[in-house]
Amino acid sequence: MVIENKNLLSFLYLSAILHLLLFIGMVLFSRLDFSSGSNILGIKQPIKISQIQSSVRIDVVAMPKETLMELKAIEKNLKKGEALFKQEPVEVKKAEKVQDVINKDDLVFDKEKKDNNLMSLLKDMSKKDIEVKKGKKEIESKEKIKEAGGVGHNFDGELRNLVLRGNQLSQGTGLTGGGDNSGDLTTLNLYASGLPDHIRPYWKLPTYLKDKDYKCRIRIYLRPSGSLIKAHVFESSGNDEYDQKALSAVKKAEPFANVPNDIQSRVSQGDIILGFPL
Amino acid sequence: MKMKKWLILLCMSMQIMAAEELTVVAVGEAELEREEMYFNLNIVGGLSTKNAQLGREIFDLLVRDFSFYRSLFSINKSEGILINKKSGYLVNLKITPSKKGVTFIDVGIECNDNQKNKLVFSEKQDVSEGNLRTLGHSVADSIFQIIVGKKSIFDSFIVFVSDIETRDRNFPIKELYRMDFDGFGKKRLTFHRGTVISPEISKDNRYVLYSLLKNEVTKDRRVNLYMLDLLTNKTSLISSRKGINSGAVFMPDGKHIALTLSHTDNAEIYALNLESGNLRKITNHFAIDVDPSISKDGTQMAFLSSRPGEAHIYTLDPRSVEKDVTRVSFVGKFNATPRFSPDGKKIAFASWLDERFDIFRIDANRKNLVRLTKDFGSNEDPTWSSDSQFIAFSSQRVITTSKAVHNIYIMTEEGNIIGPITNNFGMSISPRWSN
Repeated sequence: MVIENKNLLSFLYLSAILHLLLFIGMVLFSRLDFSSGSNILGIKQPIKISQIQSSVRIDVVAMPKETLMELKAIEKNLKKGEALFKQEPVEVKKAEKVQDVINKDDLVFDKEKKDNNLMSLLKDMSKKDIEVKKGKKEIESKEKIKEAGGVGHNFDGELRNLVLRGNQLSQGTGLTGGGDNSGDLTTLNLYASGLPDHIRPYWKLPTYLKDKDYKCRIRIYLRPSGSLIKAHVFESSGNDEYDQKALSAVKKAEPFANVPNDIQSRVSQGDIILGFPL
Repeated sequence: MKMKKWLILLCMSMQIMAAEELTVVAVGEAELEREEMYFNLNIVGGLSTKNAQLGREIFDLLVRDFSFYRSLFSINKSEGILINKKSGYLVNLKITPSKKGVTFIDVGIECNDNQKNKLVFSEKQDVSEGNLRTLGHSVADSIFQIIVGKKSIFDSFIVFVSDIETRDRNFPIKELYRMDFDGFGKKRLTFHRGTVISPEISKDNRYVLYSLLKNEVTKDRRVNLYMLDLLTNKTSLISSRKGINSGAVFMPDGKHIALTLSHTDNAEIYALNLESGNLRKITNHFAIDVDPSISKDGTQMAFLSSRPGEAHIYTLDPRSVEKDVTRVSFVGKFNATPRFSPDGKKIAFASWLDERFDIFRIDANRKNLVRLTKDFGSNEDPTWSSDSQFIAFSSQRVITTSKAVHNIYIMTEEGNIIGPITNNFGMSISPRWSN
């Protein structure tokens, strides 16, 4: 096709140049935010990183009834698979973001007389943040969990852990993707959020490293069976011993649960990064 | 054609620059790795029974000291057998007769890093009954510092108030006492025959501030503030204004103290210059403000205030008046005795719940409110160890309708009760840990 209209042609040229400039600008800008990636044709490829972190608000409604030791013991038992709650798949409808500063008005003072029973206390607390969607969405949710089934991850279990941490006013760990309250629970996110439970028993530090506030990230590559192809330090803490402890925890924790079919390719290419601690 | 080229080039570059998507998941905080500690006692023949017992005492002291840090160490002990292990540390005590005299023993202490197969500590001491505890704690602290890389609580002490002298008298006597952190070596410090309240130790561990209610009938029953020099045993009157002169704490510069005064009819917290006697207001509010506790860097002061209508915990910057006032606690029927941890990160306090006081802890940034004690009598008056790892507190346990015991306990900062450090020593209350 030959474009004969000179005005239109020059307009298209101008438009193409503008788009190109805009694109280059975006690439340059994006480099400020994204971590380093591989080099292709001499151009550094940006990596888009999304952190799985929930935004759960848990209000302090009264002085905590359970002690820290009791809560930790319950949490430990839950990890062992004790069923304190009815195993129903649930979907987080909407999670509110934790405010760093607590205003007086944010707090709800619970005057209702409640059963002191631990089970009812935990159930009551769990109701505050979780809304179960009925009907079609529940089926969808079940399917999502089924897809990631056998991955050693229990979404309900994660929620229970969060409930047990209900006496603290802080952000919880991984539930839905994006950290922007809008992310769906994708299969990859669902699978990835189950991995910390496997690793935590092996994630131990001597006191002289634990006090130092180091942070490192390990990139993992998994086979469909959940066994480790390789793992390497993606972001170093600056302390070799700390990095090696994190790497060692990952190696000791493998094999992980089977990788669902639709994410096997991504997981084997190292799309999951583990943050120690974040 | 040129246009086509441009578009193709644009599409290609789009493809090349497509972002790789990675997902980061947080594993969370690591658990603490416990170190295996092997203690071995080797008593060489030729020692008297008494001296052999002395050797066992220093061995037990070392084992007991390390047992306080149960989250850091797993303790194993043996006698006479040198254990060959490839991990952890071996502390070996060899007790032999001393050339210094019959009341002394020669104690050789060695600590070996089993993994590196390297001797990390070696010392010989002439030990008698008089220096056993001081030397034992000092050696334990040296070994701890080699392994952990920071100071332990082993050579710290606790001052507290006891009414043990009240026995067989018809008026109360509550005096100040001192003991090692493990409850041994108790010693009386004051002889007022009155009621000592709210002691506080200076940062250099030399001075103790305390308030005194005398057993005298006077027109206005004042609670005066005193300071005891632990080096010279001299006591000096610091403040005797009308009303309350109490709840005093040292400020980080060592020259000022923060205290509660009510001479203007409303309890406020002031800064008092110990040299000049000058007073400066820290709080200025119509509500009652009491019980100051200052963070190590002096930038924050926790205190108790009736501002919201109930007793709640607040913080402010004590370097000025009513500066950066922040409410910390929002729940609890009655909160009391807020105490900053030495690292300034946490505040321990007592709160009235289920008809008794229990100890709670909250981060200085108002997050992570947790309960530490429960089903364990009424627990009050928390005080932090210098490494912020332990909390001592007083606990009242009702025995019968007419009898209750009041002892001082130690727990980890997570609420793991280690045990009582006073027993059969009257009503032991108001513990304050040295720095």
